[in-house]
Amino acid sequence: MSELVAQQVLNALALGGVYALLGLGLAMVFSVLGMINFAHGELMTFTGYALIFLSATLGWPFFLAVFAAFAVAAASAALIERVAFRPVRGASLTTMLLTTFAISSILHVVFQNFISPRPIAVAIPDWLTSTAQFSGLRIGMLQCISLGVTVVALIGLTVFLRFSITGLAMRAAAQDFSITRLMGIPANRVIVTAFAISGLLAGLSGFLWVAQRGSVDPLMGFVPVLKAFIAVVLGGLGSLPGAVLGGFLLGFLEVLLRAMLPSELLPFRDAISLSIIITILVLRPNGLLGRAEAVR
Amino acid sequence: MSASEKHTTDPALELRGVTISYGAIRAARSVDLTVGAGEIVTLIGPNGAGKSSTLMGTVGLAPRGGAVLMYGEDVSNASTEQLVRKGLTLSPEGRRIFGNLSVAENLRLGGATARKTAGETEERLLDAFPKLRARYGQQAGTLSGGEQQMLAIARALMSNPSIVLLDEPSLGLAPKIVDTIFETIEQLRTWKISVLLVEQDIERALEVSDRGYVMSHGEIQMTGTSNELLTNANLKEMFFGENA
Ligand SMILES: Nc1ncnc2c1ncn2[C@@H]1O[C@H](COP(=O)(O)OP(=O)(O)O)[C@@H](O)[C@H]1O
Ligand SMILES: [Mg+2]
Repeated sequence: MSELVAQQVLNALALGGVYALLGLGLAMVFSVLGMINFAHGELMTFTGYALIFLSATLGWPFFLAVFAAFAVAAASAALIERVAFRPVRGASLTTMLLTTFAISSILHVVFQNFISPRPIAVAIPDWLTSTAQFSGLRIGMLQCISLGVTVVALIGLTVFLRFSITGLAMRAAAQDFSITRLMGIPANRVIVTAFAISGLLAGLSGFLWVAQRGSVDPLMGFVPVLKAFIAVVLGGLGSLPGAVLGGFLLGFLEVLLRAMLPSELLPFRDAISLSIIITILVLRPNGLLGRAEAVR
Repeated sequence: MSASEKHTTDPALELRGVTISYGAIRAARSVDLTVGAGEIVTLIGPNGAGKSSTLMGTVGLAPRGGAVLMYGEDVSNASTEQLVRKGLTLSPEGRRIFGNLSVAENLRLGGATARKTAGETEERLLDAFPKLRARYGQQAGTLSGGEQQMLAIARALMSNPSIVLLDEPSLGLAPKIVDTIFETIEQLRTWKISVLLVEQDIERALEVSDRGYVMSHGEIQMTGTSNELLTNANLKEMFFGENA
């Protein structure tokens, strides 16, 4: 019994970690622009395609291809900011949101027409999908990597946000963008950095997602990012620790429901977890860690 | 006139025909104003006169028309970031410190453009505001109003500015803390920093300053030396009428 619990905790941590990374990516951009980037999921998908292109088509060693795909994700996010968001900066929130939807749809079409409308398999090295048996506990290599990547990313991000000037500026900008500029810090630097980090986080979670499923398809990013969005709202829009907390909570909730629900109710899993989250939000409208003033 | 001569005679800050508009709302209309090098100049006027808008527009944080010059150089098209790097800064109305950051982090951001001298400047400021030293690692949002105001001023001074705009630094503070704030403003003179001060405490502001401007309905109505303004009967009528 205790092995089963430990097993499920591990599953929940691994799944929650992916939501946390995705949620952090959304929260990062939200905290400086006050906007949810709904094209975030396409960055995940794009990471998957970049991985296939680099490892299968160009024949790069798998790990080199993975790291290059991360870089591609970060750079694409910065590029999207430059070509799509900067021109509408200062426009109404609705305009910016429509822009994120437009980018998302354009990328879908590009993926479908120029890559493939069907899933493409990714050759994942065997050892990555291997599992080890520890006294009844089945530990997947990928679960460990998911957890490891999440922990390293969270520590790295914390160090960056606490100790670098740009990191401090990003936290300051989340509270008061104008006055952050008054510190002599260019608005563009703060925003591009937020997008690049957000892209990197989408890349990390994209890789973990693809490694889990073994394939990439044009709409792959939609569901996880929707869930990450829910996680961010649950944690408190605008709060970075909130995004992490919300991600892990959602992971635990999903794994718990999967383990506990009778099989005839399993199809309603998402509906049930959403209902629970809505109940929490009714009680705490600003999310778990959100403060009223953190939401603009 | 040689370049260096020009530099010494030009005012530190000059506004020429500055207009601030928020859509249809004109908050300031063709404001002409100068702050000489090393001078303390006060800008006074009733609520809604357009003082804060003028200061925010000067640093590029409100929509501005007209020209801004620093030491004779036209900086009208410079961004806020560039103006700060050139030595202009503002301690904004309502303090607007970063409440989710620590006192130390607020100061570090303030010194982001002057990293070489930041350590030294910070020491000097922490000597001037010992309360901030005591609260150094604390979240700025948990500070008292007076401490937050000191932090706002210290944060602005961390950039090693040559010109500081101060927007209502004494607003809502206890008399003892107001004393500290005005002592600091006087000290800025010895640090060779030119000051444009917006204050509700008119008498006190004029006592520490060299000259003053009176603004109402978005326009400069009157200007003179601080002594002239202090003894001006019209001004007394305008501001102290009820209380005096
Ligand atoms: N961000 C803004 N948007 C629209 N109107 C503004 C804004 N800031 C100030 N105003 C208006 O501009 C006028 C001048 O305000 P302000 O500059 O704050 O005056 P003061 O600092 O002298 O009290 C007021 O009528 C105010 O309502
Ligand atoms: Mg004001």
